[in-house]
Amino acid sequence: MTLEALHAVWTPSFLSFVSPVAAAALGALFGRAGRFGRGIAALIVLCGLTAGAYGAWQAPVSGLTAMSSVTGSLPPIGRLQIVIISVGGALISTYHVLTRRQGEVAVIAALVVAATSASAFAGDSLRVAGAGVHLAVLLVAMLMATERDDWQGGVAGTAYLTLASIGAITLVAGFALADVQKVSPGGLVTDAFVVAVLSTGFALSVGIVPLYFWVPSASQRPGAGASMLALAVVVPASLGLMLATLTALPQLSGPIAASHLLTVGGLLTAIGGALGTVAPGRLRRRIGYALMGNLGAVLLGFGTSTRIGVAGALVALAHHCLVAIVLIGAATEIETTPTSSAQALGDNEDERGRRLDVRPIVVAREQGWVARVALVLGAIAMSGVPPFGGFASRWAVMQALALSDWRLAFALGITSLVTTYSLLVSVPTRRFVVGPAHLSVAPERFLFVLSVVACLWGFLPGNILDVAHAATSQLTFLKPF
Amino acid sequence: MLSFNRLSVADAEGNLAVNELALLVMLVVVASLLSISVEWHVAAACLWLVHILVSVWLAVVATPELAITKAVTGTTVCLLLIPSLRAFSQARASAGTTGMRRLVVVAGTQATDEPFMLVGAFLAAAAAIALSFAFPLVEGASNFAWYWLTLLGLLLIMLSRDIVRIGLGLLLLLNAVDLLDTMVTRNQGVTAIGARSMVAIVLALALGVIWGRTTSVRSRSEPEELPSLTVADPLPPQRVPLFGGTSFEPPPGAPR
Repeated sequence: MTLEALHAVWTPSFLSFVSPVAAAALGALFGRAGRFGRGIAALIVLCGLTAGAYGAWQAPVSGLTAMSSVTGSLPPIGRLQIVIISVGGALISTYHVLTRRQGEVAVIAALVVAATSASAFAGDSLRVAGAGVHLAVLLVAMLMATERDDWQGGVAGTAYLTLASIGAITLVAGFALADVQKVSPGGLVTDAFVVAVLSTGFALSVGIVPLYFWVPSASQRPGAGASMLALAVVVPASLGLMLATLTALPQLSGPIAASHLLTVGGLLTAIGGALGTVAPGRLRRRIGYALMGNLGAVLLGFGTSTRIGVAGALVALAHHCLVAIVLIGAATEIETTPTSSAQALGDNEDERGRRLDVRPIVVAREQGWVARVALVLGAIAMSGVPPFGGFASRWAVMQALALSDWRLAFALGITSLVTTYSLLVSVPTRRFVVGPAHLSVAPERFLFVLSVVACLWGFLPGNILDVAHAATSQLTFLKPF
Repeated sequence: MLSFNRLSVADAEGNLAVNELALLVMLVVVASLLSISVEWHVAAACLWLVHILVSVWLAVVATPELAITKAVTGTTVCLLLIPSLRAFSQARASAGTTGMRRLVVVAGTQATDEPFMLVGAFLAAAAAIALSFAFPLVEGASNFAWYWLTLLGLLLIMLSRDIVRIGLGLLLLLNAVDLLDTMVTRNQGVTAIGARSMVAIVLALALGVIWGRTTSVRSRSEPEELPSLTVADPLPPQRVPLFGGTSFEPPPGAPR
């Protein structure tokens, strides 16, 4: 490595995946030092993720290009992806710190952001990009298995590890077969075969109907941090890899158009998600289906293969990340109940009470009402009802769909309404718990603020859409409108 | 297509030559043994041998750098998995049943017992031979190896209820795609090779964590029934045990 290469490495782009890794290492170190240390660790992780987002936005040259011979680049889409993922990771880490739960969520979140950022930087090297997404999947699977102290996390982690790993491995096989097809166009490996293999891989990685099996389990069983990371960080990264694949392999947009498969998959996912939300089940399981259905709009936007459609899909994807964090967090706060007197009182109060031989004042209070409000606002924000965030996010997608087939836009609107209605009626009734009056509701308030932001998202659709449209204008496989 | 030529791997004088057919036959035997192995010693040894055989095969058909990378990666993977495999084996021995390794028990079927898996492995080998002749996706290379590892990996993942075998199937599948990718692109960049090796190592780490977690959760005794402090609206009068109280008297008329 020459001095010039070393100099090139120290550009802001280097921050994008080095600062989250360094923050994760320091966070893991400080996280062992009690409550004060955990606060410091969370602050370090937040700073690392912020630096990563800044680096992605300011990057003039790819760090991977400087460090190795891999042709790496950071297209505008990649910058958007890194910024969305970094913000998502920071919000998840903040929520976890506020809940004061055990677990290495902040550290794993930083590592996941670093892996997915490296994936975005890989540019044309699809194998490296696929490896980055696969690493993120493996890290989240580890967190799923360890975040909760019961057997359910192990089940969810195993299912997610198995299915999403098969998807990522299938993607690598698809990239290799695409190379074979490029070298010998008239051979056994045809365009259709490559499209089929890649579609299977992406369907397993993202959770597209009919290969969505890990989504409900990953939403319901593990801790909130792992669920949020899987559905609000890794899934957008996989969709970013999908855009990079379509850009790097233009032959996939040929006669066997991948856009047709994306349209069919998006429609099936939207319908399947709505039906799954209607079916009775635990709240977080229904939320998993609802989020899966919400991704249908994103896939339908990609399937239009137009700039306006893909730009709208990107805006909807960013909104999806925010809504996923709100819904899963709110459902966790609603469903989590203290299981013992010590937990109800809080560890400190229980210990202090034992020492002083006094009985603290306990009251009956309504549990999770702020979280219920946040859940309702999140569900409304996800819908396509004007003027909330979901409508603003989907407006461009609806426009693009209406230009090709208005029935698709109609079906998307209907499934969205069904999903929102099902979520609203599944909000549990009032529950009371006995505990100290000053039990912290900071996580619920944080989620409430996020839900308000998600609802008000719709007031800035033009500006956000302009940024996304400028980014999509450099994607060569899109139609120029 | 299968090509059974004697290929030189060692030096220019040809003192050490490796028969590709012999390598593939050894791969079939070792991978079949891996698919039916119950003892952790055998599973770990077979997994390591699979990696070593693949690396020798890569030395024949690709470059020595790739072969060394594969051998180092495989050894690291096995070293990472050995503690978890041993813990699983000990936990199973103490429980006296194979239920310890089964995360999800599907009642009423015993279809994934060892004899069935052995027959399945041989069927997969036959299918791999047929596919490598009928559909040689990568021209100018032996397609049997990656077909065989792919089919065996998928077989293990889809038919096993045993999470250890599912994990081993994932590792086999990763090896298979690695082989396919190597045959397609012989001269890969260091970043791509390093990224693939890192994926294999982190996959082994994740499998070890999940296996270890499952062992610790399953071997833990059932927790005591703790009183629930959540009641329905309206709140009935009740006594809440404070500071270590383990019993909880439900209100009269409340469902138990």
